[in-house]
Amino acid sequence: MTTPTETRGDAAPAKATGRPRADAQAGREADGKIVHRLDQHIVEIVSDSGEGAQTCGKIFGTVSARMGNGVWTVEIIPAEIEPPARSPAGASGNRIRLGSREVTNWGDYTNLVIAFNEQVLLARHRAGALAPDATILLEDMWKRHDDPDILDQWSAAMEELGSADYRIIPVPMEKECLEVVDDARRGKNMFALGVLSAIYGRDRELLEGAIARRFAKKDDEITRRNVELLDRGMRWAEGHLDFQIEVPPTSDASAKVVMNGNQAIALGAIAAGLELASMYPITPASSVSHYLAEIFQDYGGILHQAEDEIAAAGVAIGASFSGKTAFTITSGPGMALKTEFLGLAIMTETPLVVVDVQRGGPSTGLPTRVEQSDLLAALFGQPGDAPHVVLAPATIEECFHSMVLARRIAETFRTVVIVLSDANLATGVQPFPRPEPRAEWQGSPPDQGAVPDGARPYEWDPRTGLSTRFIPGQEGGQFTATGLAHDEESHVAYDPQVNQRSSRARSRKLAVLQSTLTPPPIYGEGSGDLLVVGWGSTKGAIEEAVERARAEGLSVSSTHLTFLSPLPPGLTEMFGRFGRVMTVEINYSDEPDDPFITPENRRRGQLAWLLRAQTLVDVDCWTRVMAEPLRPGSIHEVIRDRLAVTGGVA
Amino acid sequence: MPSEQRVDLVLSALQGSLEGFRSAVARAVDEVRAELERRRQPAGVPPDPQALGALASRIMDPGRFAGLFAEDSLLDPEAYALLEQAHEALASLDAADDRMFVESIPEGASLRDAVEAGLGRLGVAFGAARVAELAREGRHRTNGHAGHLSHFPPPSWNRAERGLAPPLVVETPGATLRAGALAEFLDGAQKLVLVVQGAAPPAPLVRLITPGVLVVQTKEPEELGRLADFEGPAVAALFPEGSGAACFTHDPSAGTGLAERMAVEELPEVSDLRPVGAISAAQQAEELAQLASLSRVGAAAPAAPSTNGHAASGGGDSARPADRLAAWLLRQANLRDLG
Repeated sequence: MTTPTETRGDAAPAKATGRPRADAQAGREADGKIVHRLDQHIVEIVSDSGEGAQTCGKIFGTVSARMGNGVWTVEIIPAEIEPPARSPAGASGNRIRLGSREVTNWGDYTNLVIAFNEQVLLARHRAGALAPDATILLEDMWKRHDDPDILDQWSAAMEELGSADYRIIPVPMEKECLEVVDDARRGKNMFALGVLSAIYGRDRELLEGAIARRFAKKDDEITRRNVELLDRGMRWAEGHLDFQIEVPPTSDASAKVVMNGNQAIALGAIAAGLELASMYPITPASSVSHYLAEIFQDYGGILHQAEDEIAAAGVAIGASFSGKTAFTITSGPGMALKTEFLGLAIMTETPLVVVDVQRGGPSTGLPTRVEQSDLLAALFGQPGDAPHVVLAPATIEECFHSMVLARRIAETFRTVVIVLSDANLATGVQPFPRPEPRAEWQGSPPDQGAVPDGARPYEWDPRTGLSTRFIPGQEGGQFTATGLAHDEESHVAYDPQVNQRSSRARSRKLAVLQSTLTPPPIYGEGSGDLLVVGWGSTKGAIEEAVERARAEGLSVSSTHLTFLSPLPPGLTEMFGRFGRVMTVEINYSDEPDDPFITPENRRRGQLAWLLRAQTLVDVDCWTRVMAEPLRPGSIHEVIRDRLAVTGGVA
Repeated sequence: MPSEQRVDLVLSALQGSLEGFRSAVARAVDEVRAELERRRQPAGVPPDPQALGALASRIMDPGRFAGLFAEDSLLDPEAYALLEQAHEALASLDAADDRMFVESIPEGASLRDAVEAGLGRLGVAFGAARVAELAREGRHRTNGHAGHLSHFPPPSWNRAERGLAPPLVVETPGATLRAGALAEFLDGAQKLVLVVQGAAPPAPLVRLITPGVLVVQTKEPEELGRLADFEGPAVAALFPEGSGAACFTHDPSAGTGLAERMAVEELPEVSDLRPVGAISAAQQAEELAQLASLSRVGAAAPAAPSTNGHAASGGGDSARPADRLAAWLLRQANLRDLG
């Protein structure tokens, strides 16, 4: 075995920062290699955009999940569609966290990277994404390149990277791939997949099957060459690397499915019996419709790409009004455009499910990056009093099941239900127990029998605000629906009492729904010094941080809210059992010590705003908008800070 | 003309009032029937805890969800039974013929009690509607409200119900005709017609003349048609042809002055009077004297504002500007509907 020349020697000891060490449990030796047996490991594949690192990462993550590992993947997506090659801004790829138990978040720092050039590696280094003792497998063609500018860039990068204790292993990716394909750029990803699969002991049969599925629509020769590249990568790793990493599978042998959040939403919509999806392409929500486009019609569904966001909402509302079960999919900017139509659905009490896959920033913002900044807009974005339901799945699995729940609530309460997902869930891949779809999820079609004599389209029950939905074409069910305030018969309301009455009915429905909710479960003890409250995709990171803090003896617990409107019952009482309450969110909040910031003018995290208003509890917050998911280690440090624990994180 | 035939003629004359009440009853029957239908099935989607999916089992109480709808849409058996009884009572009134508006009094019975019984029987329409509403909202008391379905007399009626008051035709022996006791019923749009049989005092209804009440004594059934057109309370007595009864009309819509409102067509001689039942000749003479007096005073009296909201139209020459203004103000205030 020949070990490639390394820019540094063996992996240096990890710093005492709590970051996972790739070699922390290095032990037995097999076939002349050191086998590191670990309970979790984070690996990245990073390349220029278009070199296929994302495909490589997805296959690696999926195969790992199928082999029984806990997995959470995060896409590394450049902000631009075609960024310049060999630029830090163009870094594209996939980050996979493997575990011996369920993995609920992307973890802290990357332990092993395979990079297609030194510039994309530099981007990850500068982003602070890499553990200081990370092992780096780096395409080495650039250090011998003819272009002196590239050589200069290489040298500068090596110098900058030298500030860390990375173990950098050169990999002749170009040279190896050219043995199989004419254009190495179209082969490096499968070669890299082979290298990683050899390191982590991935099942070759599963890999070959995954590659075949990936290229199923292309010529068989394409598949054959990609498998050959895979094998070449595996052989190279076996012949040139002195280590292997073993992350044992979880003990859970139950049947699992592996998918990302957008796939889960698409499949959940089908399982829920939704019949029409209307959308306009927008990152990071578009892939929901991509998945639906492939299979929705097989289940009787209709996918409609409208001419714009507003029309997409209009089509869904119209379909629902006429008796179909419909939803629309969008992201923040699209939500802004749909605002008026959401008000129409609320006023006409037309059931509608709206999926908002949040991205970063206002306006165009950060289309490919994660943020949780649409909460207040989702809750209060409509002019006038427009009560509706907002719920947020916290896991990929919940993305699936939230569609079943959203449809049922929308129809039962004749209202709009917004499902707040985010880019972290949308592109993250996680295995979860295979759902067993039930006929009840799909419900029965709306009753289209004759309307009872005397029944009215808005026969608001004085206690619950609920009324029976009429469908056009139903005998005796014809009525005119407009956005105008209306009475029980859908006649335009000129009597001021009518608006008061109808507003009360629409509002009352939320209270009725809340009466069926249970207080959210507490992770940890039911009382203590600090309660961390979260919502959406931060759940896994928060709970892992709480677990670490509790292992240190800190009195901290967490709870996670699925319903944001209405909020679940019992929060005030729950908060009262803790010395402090703090939200952790991926949206912006002012730092209390910043210039000009006072307790009165401080803009807080969006959930913190809501909880303070609803519970009158002095809820604190810690938020970040770093265009990436929160790390459990960062939250752990904040918990320690809030509880005034001195000393670094162990 | 036989009494029964006269009653038919009276009912025919009152057809407008009858139809107004019947229409209200029919609407109530439809509404309560629809409510019964709705309460058999829950509003919206039938609750099925499984339909909420796996996520709900962690954050919701599916049983409470289902129970909420059962509780909301499906009335408890007691309330549902009460709603059914209300529907039955209304449907019974709806199906009855016009004879339900007739009450017959035996000799010696109380006219007042008979009128209250008759109106209480017809007033079940209002009582049933009230019970249906209370049952629908879960505010019913079975013991307290079931009685509304058999007897719901005028003192229990609200303003709106008094505006829809059913007309009542009372076949009464002349000897029981103590009309003064009827004053308490003359409110809203109540119409009372007494079909008098046998000997009777000549001017009993004089005691009921007040500015807003239409009072008619006549021997011609067709004269009673004006009761159906009059919006306020009215009372009439139809005497047999050839009887010695006075014939007169006090019509508030005819003008603001007593002279305009009073029209006396026939005034019998005092010397002919004899006791009728317990009604003495002196009492009858007093009523006749009052009628004569009103007729004379009316002719000389200045116009006064009408309290039923109908200003004089033909009496404009004699009405002073101040009176017309007062009448207009009263109309705007809609005092007739108060109470």
